[in-house]
Amino acid sequence: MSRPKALITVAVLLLTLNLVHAIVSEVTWENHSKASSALIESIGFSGLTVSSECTATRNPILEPTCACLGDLPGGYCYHLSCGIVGIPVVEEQLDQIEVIDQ
Amino acid sequence: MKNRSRRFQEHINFLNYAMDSIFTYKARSIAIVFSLMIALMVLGSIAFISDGLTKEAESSANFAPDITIQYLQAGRQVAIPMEYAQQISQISYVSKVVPRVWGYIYYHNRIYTVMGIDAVKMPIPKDIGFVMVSGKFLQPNDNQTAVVGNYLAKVFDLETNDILVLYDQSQQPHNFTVNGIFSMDVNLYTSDLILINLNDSRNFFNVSAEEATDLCVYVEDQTQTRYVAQQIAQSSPDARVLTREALKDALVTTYGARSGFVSVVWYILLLSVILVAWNQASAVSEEAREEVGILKALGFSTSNILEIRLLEALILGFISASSGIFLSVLYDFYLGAPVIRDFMLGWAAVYPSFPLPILISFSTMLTLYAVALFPLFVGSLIPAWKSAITEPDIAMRGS
Repeated sequence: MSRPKALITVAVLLLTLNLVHAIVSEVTWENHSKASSALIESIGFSGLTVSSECTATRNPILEPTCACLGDLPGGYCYHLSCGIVGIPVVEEQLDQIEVIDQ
Repeated sequence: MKNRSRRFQEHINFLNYAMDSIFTYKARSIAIVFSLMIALMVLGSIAFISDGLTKEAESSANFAPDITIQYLQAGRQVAIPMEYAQQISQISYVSKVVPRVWGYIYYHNRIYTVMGIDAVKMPIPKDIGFVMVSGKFLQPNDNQTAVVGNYLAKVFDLETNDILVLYDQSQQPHNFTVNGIFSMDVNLYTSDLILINLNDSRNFFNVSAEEATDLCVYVEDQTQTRYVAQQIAQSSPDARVLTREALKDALVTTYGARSGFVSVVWYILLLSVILVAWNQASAVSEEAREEVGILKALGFSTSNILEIRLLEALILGFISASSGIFLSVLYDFYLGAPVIRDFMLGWAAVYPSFPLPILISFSTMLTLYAVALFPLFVGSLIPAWKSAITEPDIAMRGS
């Protein structure tokens, strides 16, 4: 196979792989939302447990990844020095969970 | 017809020549493909995660209550008096008002969410069992029982029927039997969640029966949601009225790549690639000038040479974009986006741990291809034009 033909083959192969991944992803998302919808309907609304709210919220660079809705359940902050729904930074907070195996 | 076929063949020949040129100027081609590929990989990885988060947040908001009411004091959310629920339920078109009591508890300086719902009044669908990996969802008559998230169950090695002891703010223990564990499918919402009945939650958080954390309002006619929201806002100016649409807008803004980090990375990478393309195209232009002279002497026009150069840019851009996007798919989808994943999940205290939602959408993919091709065209156009307009005798003499 000549080099130009090899180049075209690789490019087409990569494009096909990318498109296949996009199709799989889109189809998976269509079905995925059914589980989320049943849960959200049952408990009301709950925030995603991923982002954080802190002084970075006012930082235009970090805003999209750090901003959140702190007044929603699960919308708390992971940032250690945050004072909004903060994890205490002065002293250790007492643990509030224990498990008794049955 | 014959003329058209000849023209088509001419363009094919230019394409073949452009592909040969890519191998002739190897150093330039590698520099452009490598820089663009890395740029696209980083950009694609962030864009796919950002799309996933936005899509997840947006689709979840579609199933939120029509209106969520919170009570504000000094600009902060505090418990809402239950008399508001009675007032709101009297507004026309309001179907029902359901209180929730929720809050946070700590374990090893990490926060977990305890949420109390009214299992009788909440619109729990019949297929709720699909979101459980074991046990069952909260039942109306269950007392001192809890349904917990999959991640939380793994952290505490919890199984159904285990006893979960939660200590309230005054360190008094409250025992809950684990009746169910949510599946991984809803981990993004439930990884830190302990779901209990409303009365148990009131008891645990010491919230009286006259108060709730927030109110879920359901409207009979969806078209009247705005009217109902306006009525609530007018009658209760100290309430925060969150319609489903407002919630969706806020979430999309929060998780979207509208501004900030993603955009900044995007612009920096775009600029870098334009500079690389410009630099490389200019560097080879001296070498290519002689080639242009020969081509022109053989009868190639300026537009023919420009077409060849732009086809080169197109092919390089296409290969760079395809390989960059493919690497970002591998990085996000199969490797779980290490480093970027930690950054997107949290800050100094990275928690919890679960796969990020990743959406590889056609629109983002098209945008990434466009982003790869645009800077190459811009970066190659002027050097290509300068090279193409050179007179053949000057080009061949090299002066």
